[in-house]
Amino acid sequence: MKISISYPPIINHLGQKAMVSQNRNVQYFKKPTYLLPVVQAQAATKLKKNGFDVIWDDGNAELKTFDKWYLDLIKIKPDLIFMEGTTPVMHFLWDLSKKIKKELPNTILVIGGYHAMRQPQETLLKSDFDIVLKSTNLDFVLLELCNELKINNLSLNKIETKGITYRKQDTLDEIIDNGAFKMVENLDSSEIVDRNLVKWKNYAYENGNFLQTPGTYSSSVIRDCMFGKCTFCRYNGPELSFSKMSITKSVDEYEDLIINHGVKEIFDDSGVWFRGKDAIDFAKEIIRRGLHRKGCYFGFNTRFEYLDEETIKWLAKANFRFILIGLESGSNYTLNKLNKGYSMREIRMNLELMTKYGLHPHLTIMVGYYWETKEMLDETVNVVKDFMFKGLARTLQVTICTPVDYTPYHIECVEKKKLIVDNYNDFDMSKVIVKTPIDHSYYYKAIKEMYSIAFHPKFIIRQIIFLFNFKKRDWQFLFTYSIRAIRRVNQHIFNLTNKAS
Amino acid sequence: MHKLIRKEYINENLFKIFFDKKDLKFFPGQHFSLSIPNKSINREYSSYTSSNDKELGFLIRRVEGGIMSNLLDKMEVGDELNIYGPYGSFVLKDEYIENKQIIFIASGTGIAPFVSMKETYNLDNYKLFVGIRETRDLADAEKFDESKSYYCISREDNISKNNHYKGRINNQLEKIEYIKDYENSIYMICGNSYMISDVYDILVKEKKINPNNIITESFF
Ligand SMILES: Cc1cc2nc3c(=O)[nH]c(=O)nc-3n(C[C@H](O)[C@H](O)[C@H](O)COP(=O)(O)OP(=O)(O)OC[C@H]3O[C@@H](n4cnc5c(N)ncnc54)[C@H](O)[C@@H]3O)c2cc1C
Ligand code: SF4
Repeated sequence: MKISISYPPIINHLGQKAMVSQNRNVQYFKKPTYLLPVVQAQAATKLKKNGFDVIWDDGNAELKTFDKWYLDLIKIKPDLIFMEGTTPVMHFLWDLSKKIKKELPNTILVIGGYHAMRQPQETLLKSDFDIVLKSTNLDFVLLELCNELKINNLSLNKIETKGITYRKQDTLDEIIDNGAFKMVENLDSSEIVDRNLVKWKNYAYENGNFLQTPGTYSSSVIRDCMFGKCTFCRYNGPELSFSKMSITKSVDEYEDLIINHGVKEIFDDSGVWFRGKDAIDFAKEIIRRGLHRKGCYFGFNTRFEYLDEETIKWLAKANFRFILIGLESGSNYTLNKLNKGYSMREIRMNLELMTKYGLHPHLTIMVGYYWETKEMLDETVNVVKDFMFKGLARTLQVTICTPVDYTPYHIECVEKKKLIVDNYNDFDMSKVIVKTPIDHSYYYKAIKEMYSIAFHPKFIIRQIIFLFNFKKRDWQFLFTYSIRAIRRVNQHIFNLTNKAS
Repeated sequence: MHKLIRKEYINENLFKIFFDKKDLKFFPGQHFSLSIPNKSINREYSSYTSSNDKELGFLIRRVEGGIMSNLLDKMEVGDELNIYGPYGSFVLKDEYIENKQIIFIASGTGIAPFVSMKETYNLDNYKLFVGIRETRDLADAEKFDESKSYYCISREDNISKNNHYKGRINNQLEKIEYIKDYENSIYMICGNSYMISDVYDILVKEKKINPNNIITESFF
């Protein structure tokens, strides 16, 4: 049975490409970063290990045009195609499913992702997809599904696999919901990504967060998020929990990546990575195997206050560098409304600890909440400036808070009639799409202002001061990374304000 | 900030900790994020006391080498911490409380939210399965009806009480057919994620329970 895990190149009217495989709504960029979709890669690996003929078909990362990608796919004639989408590309994918079905009527089309999984009926009614996969444990579900389809000669008349909604083949209008899939999996039975299968080098160089290349994403140690309660976040939902991988299994992968693939930076894209004892044990294992001396940096996503001083100390010793962390606002009111579970006081203290031990915090900031006043926005801009000028954070990324499908924030926006668009395509994070107490232009201005910090003399002087720590990473940061950062900042500003820079 | 009012130890690694509740309101089963001032650390803990109580209590296992649980262990009466929340949807819907048998399945401190639910709603139509290592880890058995609770003790050979069984929860769940109306019950599973994963497989794959009737909360 031939299975293709496919990412079609999706290009908007500005000639920008959609980045589908990131942790929120799709964003369009002229020169996007190609992120390895880790769970999908684990799914491909699992299927291959179980004897299926798997095609890893990321048209974006392979720099294909849509037409080239499409013709290649049709030529391959897979028995099953899996695709992933979020709100802004749903219309595109629905249309695409009809186009593919015309050419390949016997191919089973499966879709996953946060939009379809929460509204499977809608997708099945509006498209030619046959199956909606409703679980974030899609590697486990896909394997069960493909095993079942294989036994039943690809029949869609009766499927037992949990975690899917499907259209019955014999009575085309009948939609069957098989109920929820297991929320908690033992990740020790998930697969470590087969790097050759997913052509890992396609993702190894263009990622702006890597200070050294080739860099790569590891197989996540935590699937979904241990906290999972921030109201805007894709990891918040009654159907989501979290699962954990053992330290040994993960460090085995790091060892393989460093020794056999020459990787120079590894990022774990778990919603939040290990904390406390697990993080310390991980760092100790890296050190025990001597992997901290191989010139490879490590990084991950975390939440404020998941890393205490002792943990940070060990991480620094083990050559961890890049810490991606959400600073969703500088206003305590907003932090509280978003269920962040901490305030500015704790955020500052935690950043002080991280930077004391030489870690490089990267802040992900958001603006444009439906309640965000000028004062709140100013608080954010001021606090971000302060952190960056004082060296409490190294890099940042600012996005417009765009409600992610059926998260509590999205539901709140709908219930309070705050959404000002109803076309799914408008959820592409390029503009504010909620009613706000101030003109939207203030948010765009704030975004520009925060991105411009990278060029501010105070920020540059701070980076020069860092050089006197005589750490390689600080020198690399100033000379290599800042050049890349400029390109990245320009793209973001162009993208978010839609004005050429 | 919330003041520590009292602590009770079940054994040296398992304790109950009670804070002044102030005006916090929650549904039993929801959890809070506890943060110790100036230590830059927070962790989640499930509600353990009834939502009608004046105090807000938690049931804590001190984890060897764990950061927060050891700091909580060291806290003294009068000390203060920040409590954020409540969070989460690991709660009983009204229709479940009124019309359904609830089957609680917990490992270790995973019993905490079930104590809160039992105490708040004065539940009667339930069964409780708890997995612990030793009898000394037993918490709050007196709050549940003996005939409705099953304690699975994995690391002891001499089992003396009627509702105590040697082994893991899985062994007891193999016999779940003996429970009247088990097919239509609501299953709430809480605690160690490996246990949740195993139990889910037994319930769904072997006992054909509808997965939509299973609600889980993973602690670690
Ligand atoms: C929603 C939620 C609710 C929770 N409710 C409770 C609760 O009511 N009571 C409680 O004691 N814990 C609870 N926890 C776990 C708690 O948040 C912490 O993980 C735990 O106290 C350990 O923190 P630490 O800083 O001491 O250990 P860390 O330094 O963070 O180390 C974590 C290590 O402790 C182990 N561990 C975590 N929790 C436990 C536990 N309960 N028993 C045995 N080993 C554990 C993990 O496997 C991990 O290896 C809950 C977690 C979540 C996500
Ligand atoms: S901590 Fe981060 S990943 Fe987890 S729910 Fe909050 S924003 Fe999402």
